[in-house]
Amino acid sequence: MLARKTWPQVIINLLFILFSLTCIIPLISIISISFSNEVDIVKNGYHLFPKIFDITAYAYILYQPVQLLNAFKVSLFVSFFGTFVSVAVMAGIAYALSREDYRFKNSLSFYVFFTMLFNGGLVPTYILITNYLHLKNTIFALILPYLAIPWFILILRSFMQKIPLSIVESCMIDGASEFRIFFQIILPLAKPGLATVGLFMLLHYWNDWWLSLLYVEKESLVPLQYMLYRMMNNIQYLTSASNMMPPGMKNADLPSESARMAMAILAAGPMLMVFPFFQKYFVRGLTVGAVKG
Amino acid sequence: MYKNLKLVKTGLVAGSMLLAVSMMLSACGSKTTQETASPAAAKPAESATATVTPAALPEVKLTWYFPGNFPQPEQDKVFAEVNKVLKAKLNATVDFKPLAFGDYDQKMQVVIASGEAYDIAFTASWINNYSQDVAKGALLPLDDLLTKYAPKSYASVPKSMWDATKVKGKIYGFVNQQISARTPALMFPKDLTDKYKLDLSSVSGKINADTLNLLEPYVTNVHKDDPKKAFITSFDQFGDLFNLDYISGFNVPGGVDYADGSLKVVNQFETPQAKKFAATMRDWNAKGLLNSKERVSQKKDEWTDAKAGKWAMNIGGAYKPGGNIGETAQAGYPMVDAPAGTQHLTTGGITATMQGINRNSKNPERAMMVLELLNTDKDLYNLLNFGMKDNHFKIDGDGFMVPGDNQKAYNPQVAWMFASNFLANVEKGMPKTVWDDTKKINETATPSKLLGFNFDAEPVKSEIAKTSAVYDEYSRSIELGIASEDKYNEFLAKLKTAGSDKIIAEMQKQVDAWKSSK
Repeated sequence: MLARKTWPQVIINLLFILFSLTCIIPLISIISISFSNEVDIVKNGYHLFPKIFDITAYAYILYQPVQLLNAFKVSLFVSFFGTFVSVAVMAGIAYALSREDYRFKNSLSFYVFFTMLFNGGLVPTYILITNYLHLKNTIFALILPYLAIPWFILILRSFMQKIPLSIVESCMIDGASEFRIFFQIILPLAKPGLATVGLFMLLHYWNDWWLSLLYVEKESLVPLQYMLYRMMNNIQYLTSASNMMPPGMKNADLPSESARMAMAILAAGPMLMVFPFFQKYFVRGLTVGAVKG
Repeated sequence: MYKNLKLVKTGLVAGSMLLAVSMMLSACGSKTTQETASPAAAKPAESATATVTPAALPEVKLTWYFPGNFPQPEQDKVFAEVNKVLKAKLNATVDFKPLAFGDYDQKMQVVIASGEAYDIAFTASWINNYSQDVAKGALLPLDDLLTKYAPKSYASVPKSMWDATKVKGKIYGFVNQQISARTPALMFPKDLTDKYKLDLSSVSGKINADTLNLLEPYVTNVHKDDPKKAFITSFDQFGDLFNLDYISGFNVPGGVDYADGSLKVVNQFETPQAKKFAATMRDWNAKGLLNSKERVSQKKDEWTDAKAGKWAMNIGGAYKPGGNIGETAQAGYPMVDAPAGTQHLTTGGITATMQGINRNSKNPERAMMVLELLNTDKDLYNLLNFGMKDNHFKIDGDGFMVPGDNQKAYNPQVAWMFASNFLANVEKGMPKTVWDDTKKINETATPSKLLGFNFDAEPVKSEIAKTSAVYDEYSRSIELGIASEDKYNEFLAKLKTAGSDKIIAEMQKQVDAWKSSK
């Protein structure tokens, strides 16, 4: 098999093998650290495969499975419900923007585009969400702020612009209403684009801890990523600012290296499973969006 | 052309809309900074020394933000217990809002900016920055409230401490008493000091950059027998022994000599002590006493080294009576410690633990009552600190506190966070008199000449960020003795380019203004 290949091909294959390894090895090492014995890590450093197989880290994290499972539930709900609603909203705006015969196309485009460059800033946003919309400590505070992301709207718009206007016109002649055209003709045609944006949104929602940091104080609404972020951030804070802090803290019960990695695995795992299913749409949808930015 | 015009128009409309909206919002935000008369002054004075009958007080719900090792599994249970007591004694309940250390700063910034009417929040020199909060107008002056509603606490805190919290002559922070006088600790594994016959009293309180050689024989002997064990300290922790009161922390240039009555601000990195420390580390590294090769590649976490048995000794943290209990727990084997230098009372040490009352609070006097109760009611304070007796903690036959069977479920370890640390249960292994000892240290420590000066970093914020980045870049190689003398001079030159002179000039300006206003 190899004999028939020419040198350049072999070199290209090697390059890609190397590249794949650089992607896979860190992941493997994270998994291996999470199954390693803490004392062994401290004494002998990291290994690609655990020297002493140990599940203490998982035991430590799952010491209170209730909280973790609850965070998992919140994350799942926010990700899937949020993705569904936000893709629906964005597809609607994008379709309107993609229609040549829409009168306010330019001004609306500018309105969307403008928010990409300028936003109100953190404090006004916080005031809007808490004092005007009263979303503090509700699940919707984790969903609403990301419903319409300008960049994704523009990707979807350029994707939908590829659909010839004549299709829409012929539907109209056949007597279809605007809604029917949108739901039955446009959306199925835009599937790759929707899938791409959907995946982006899913990752966006799944990986988000920022909104929960700002708007959530109830432990029952804390998503998984925020739990992880809070833990890591704490460790970092305590190791960097410990000389300024009042004495008397023992950071002996900071989670160990292996526990942090175990947490990372739990947080990233589900998305690793989801990704392959989107793969086939992903490539198509993305390039179409990129060529005509 | 026409299209462009339309765009311009839209832009104008959008722009002016934005302007209008932002003006509206900033108007909302600036409400917080308006002077409001202290509501306590408008109320008839109740004599707080007489026991308050809860029935006479209207029911209130207070909000309290504070950082710590949260969330704790059973925190809600503990808070509910605390609220039972508060309800019975003050007819008040507190909505406790515990936050993780890493989140607290960010969260408080938006909470304060949004003008939320919370009541109490932890504020300090190192987190939720006290002087900035005062400058923002987020905090209420407490002078009247303290005398009226918290007379016992007010009397139990030395006047010098209250003076340290004053900004323009007013107190904005309720001091939680703890060890305020600071000097780093010398920490040794006990078995090593026994084996190598190190007499702690021969080094206790005597260590500075010039006397590091006192420790050299011991470190050399330990290292000879066990090359894994090294001398460990860091630039910023050892920096506390240069005899300077740092105005904005060690990693920002600018400090005043403790004994300097003229209050001249100097750059600590250019002092002979700092250069001497760098030179000694260079020398020790050449002798192999620091294990720099191994340590340079890992991140800075000395306690990890301690657990792995890699300490010959460590200089750092803050010495306090009974501190070796914590160190022993952290390292996992017996430790002994001693103060490294003389203890000094600094503004930073006092303002490290305070509660502030929000200017928008609807019931500041009730918030003050809650603080008074926590600072006087031992049982309530310990409940909040250590959880429930016989569950999260136990008291043994001799009256010492030992971990309970369920300690894991509630153990925030921030005794100085809620109220005066001096009410805390004495842990097993600490001397019975630990809090009296601590009080004594606070009283006998030499006060810094800068006591009561709070620096406003706002005018030199960007320079501070730049110099901190330079410090981060070089400090590790300096403390590991890898940096040559040229490298050290390069570090000083880079600090200059980053604006160290400007920072020091600004500090000097503020110090002089403060001095003349005294």
